[in-house]
Amino acid sequence: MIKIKSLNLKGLRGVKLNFPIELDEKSILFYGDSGVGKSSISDAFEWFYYDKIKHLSGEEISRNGLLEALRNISLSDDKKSMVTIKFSNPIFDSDKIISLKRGSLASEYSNKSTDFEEFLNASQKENFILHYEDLVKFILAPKKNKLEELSDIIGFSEVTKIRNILKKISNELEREIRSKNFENLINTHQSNLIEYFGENILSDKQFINSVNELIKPLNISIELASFSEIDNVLNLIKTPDDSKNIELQSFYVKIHNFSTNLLDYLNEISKLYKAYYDQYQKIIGDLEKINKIMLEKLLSEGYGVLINNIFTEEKCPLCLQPKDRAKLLKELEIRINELKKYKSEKVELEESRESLKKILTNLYHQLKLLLSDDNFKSDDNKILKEKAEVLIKNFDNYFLELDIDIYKAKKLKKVNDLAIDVNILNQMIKFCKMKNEQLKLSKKNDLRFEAHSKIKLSTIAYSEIKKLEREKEALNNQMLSMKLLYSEFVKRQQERLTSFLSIFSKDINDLYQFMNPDEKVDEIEFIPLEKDDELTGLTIQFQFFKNNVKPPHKYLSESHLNCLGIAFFLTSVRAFNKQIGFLIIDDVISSFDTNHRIRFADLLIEKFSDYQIVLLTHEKNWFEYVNNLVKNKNWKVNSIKWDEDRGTHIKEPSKNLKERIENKIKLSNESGLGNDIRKYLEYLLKQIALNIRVKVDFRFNDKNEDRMSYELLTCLISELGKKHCEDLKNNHTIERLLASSFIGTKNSHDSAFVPSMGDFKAFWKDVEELEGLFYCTSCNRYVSMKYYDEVEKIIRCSCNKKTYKWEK
Amino acid sequence: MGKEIISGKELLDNFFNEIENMPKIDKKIASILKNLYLNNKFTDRNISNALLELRKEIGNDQD
Repeated sequence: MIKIKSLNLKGLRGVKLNFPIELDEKSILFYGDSGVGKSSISDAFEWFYYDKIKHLSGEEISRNGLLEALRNISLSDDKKSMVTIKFSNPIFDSDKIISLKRGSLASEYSNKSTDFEEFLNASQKENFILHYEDLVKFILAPKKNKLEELSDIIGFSEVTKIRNILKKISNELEREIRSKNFENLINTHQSNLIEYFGENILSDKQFINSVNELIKPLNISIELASFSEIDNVLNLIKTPDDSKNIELQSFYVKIHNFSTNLLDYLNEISKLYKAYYDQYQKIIGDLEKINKIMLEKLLSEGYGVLINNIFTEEKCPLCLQPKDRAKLLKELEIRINELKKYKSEKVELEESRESLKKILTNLYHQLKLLLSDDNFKSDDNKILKEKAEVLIKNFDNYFLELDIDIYKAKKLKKVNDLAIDVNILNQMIKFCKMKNEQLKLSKKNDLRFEAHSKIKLSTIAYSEIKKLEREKEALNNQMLSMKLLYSEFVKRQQERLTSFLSIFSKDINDLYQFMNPDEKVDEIEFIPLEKDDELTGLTIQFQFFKNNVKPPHKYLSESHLNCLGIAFFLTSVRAFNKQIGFLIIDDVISSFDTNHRIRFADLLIEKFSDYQIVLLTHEKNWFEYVNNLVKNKNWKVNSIKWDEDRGTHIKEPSKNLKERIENKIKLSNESGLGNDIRKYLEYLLKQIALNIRVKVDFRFNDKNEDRMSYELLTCLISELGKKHCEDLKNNHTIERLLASSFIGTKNSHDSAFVPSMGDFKAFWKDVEELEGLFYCTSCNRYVSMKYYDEVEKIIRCSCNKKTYKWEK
Repeated sequence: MGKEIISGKELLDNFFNEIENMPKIDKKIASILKNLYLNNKFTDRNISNALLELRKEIGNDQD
């Protein structure tokens, strides 16, 4: 797993100059008071990886606003802000830079390699930064969001996508079957067959027998053996005069069948339109919803333009401003995802519309086909044609309403204003019946004609039935397969999720128990919730005083909820982070009680030693506790400070302070020089006191850090006297320093003394001489009790070049 | 823990690998779905079109 070698922030958030941290893949504990800019570190990581910062996002902060917020406010326009991260694998090393380009802020990575891009994309799926405000976010999230979030983390969002497609296809096939109204159509044709043959025809054999019965009285020398021979029989019995009559009968039967079928559909059509109307009106009644739907459409179009390479320049295709294409795609993905819920309402509306449109289109095409029949041109059928044309208008009215763009937010016509006229249909049915009767009467007692017309019309009806049954069977077969596949898929998904949740729950429970031993909470479990075989959410259940209860926030204190949040975060890290081997934990223990703070620290050190941890805190006592805990564990420990010159910075090691002092003296720069020398002297005296064991009064930790030079020098002189160190006890340098105007109590820093450069140089010379007395430049060690010579009674440095008489 | 969890991708791969041998599933439909998945073309539109084509084929075979 990838770890961090070093990090540097420059002109970013609170950091004005540089914030370099050499980590060498080690964990680090940072202490810093509130307001010194500790979060600059977690912000830098969050921005580097996710290109956003949660607490700097929202309606009032645009993307450019984020860059403005990230860039240190005091930076001049020509300066760049950046974060530089070097990793255990150097091929991923990169800067992420904010600079001003053509008047607006832009950001980019210095590493343009595909390896880095893939690393970044994979890392974005991992969760490795924990802020206080995120601790209980998941625990308190609604059940549906919990399921979505966890599904996303375990890569089940793609699974859900596929499942939704399978379901959609199953439903579509079901709708298709319903829209075709097979049963009604088949029944109508069966009615025709009963009329012609006097019985139901359910097989070819029955059909053949019935035909043979009809032709028997005609005494023709042929018998129908199979359905495919029907044309031979028809050709044999037809007479030229019969054709027109039979054609007209067939025409009226078709119109009659269509009208009967449409009549059966009317209720279904009205019901579907009413449902569509209600959904539509609900959406257009909410202006904000409409705007969000429109925005989603625009963004999705833009995304399509980019992803399909319709626009390939490194610009925004809308405003033509320069833009990193990959970054733009990612931003669009995020924004489209945020608008998902609005889109889903629109998708539901579209599905309703499509269901209705499918039925209407099907019927409309049937009617149009009938209207193309030449028999409509005849004066006899003028009335029929007029009525059919009214129906066409009825259909058109429906289509007009269904084609209204929701973005126009125009009101739809109500269902009663669109309804297809039942009277027209009944009149058409009556008209066709009457015409058919007339046609039959005109050939009454003509056996040959009667047989011919019945066989011809029944052949049409029977063929239609067979066609409809084939179509119905094919659709049913497909629907059945899709439904079986869908239910098998759901079963597998649920099995996997349940097995995952059981392992995940056990891990969370173990971590929670570690932080809360011997308490009355146990067996924490993530339980999937289902409705109609669908996963609808997740809830967290646990045993509380031996009873199963939920949800956690109903029973647990803030500290316990925080523990649960931490357990969830750390379990997720273990379960899902495949690439990132470090954790950034930013000031998360603020509302923990003392016991939980201690247990949390123990948990991190004991159970997560494989990870590189960047631990930030402003809690002094907790810092001290962790500091003790990580001694000899190869951790780094540092403090974060803030001042006006540098902004957020790391407490400087004294060596650098020395270089700065020397540099200021060289450049005659008096600014802050006195304070710097005083700080160095304090540091030096602490080192000397530590090494030769100068006794000072006991003080608590933070006060101990605050000791001033005057106190330390006085104690040093006293110690030199006690140990009869003749070489040093009356040393002029030490006496000069004690009497120096620069030295005094803490308050004397603000005295009226205004030193010149000469005063600074003299003061620094004394400090250097003091250092020379106790620090050996040959072995780079202080004179120390560690090297005390019991025989010679001398105190010395490691290499023995610097020695003083010393009585114990 | 990570090793014990089957990822979403593994679940999908397994499902589509086994789809043709699932009982009561039309082999042609299974094959269509598997190919669309393997070619990253598993969309509702593509599936609908493929199923329609299949119905037409069946209709033509029987005419």
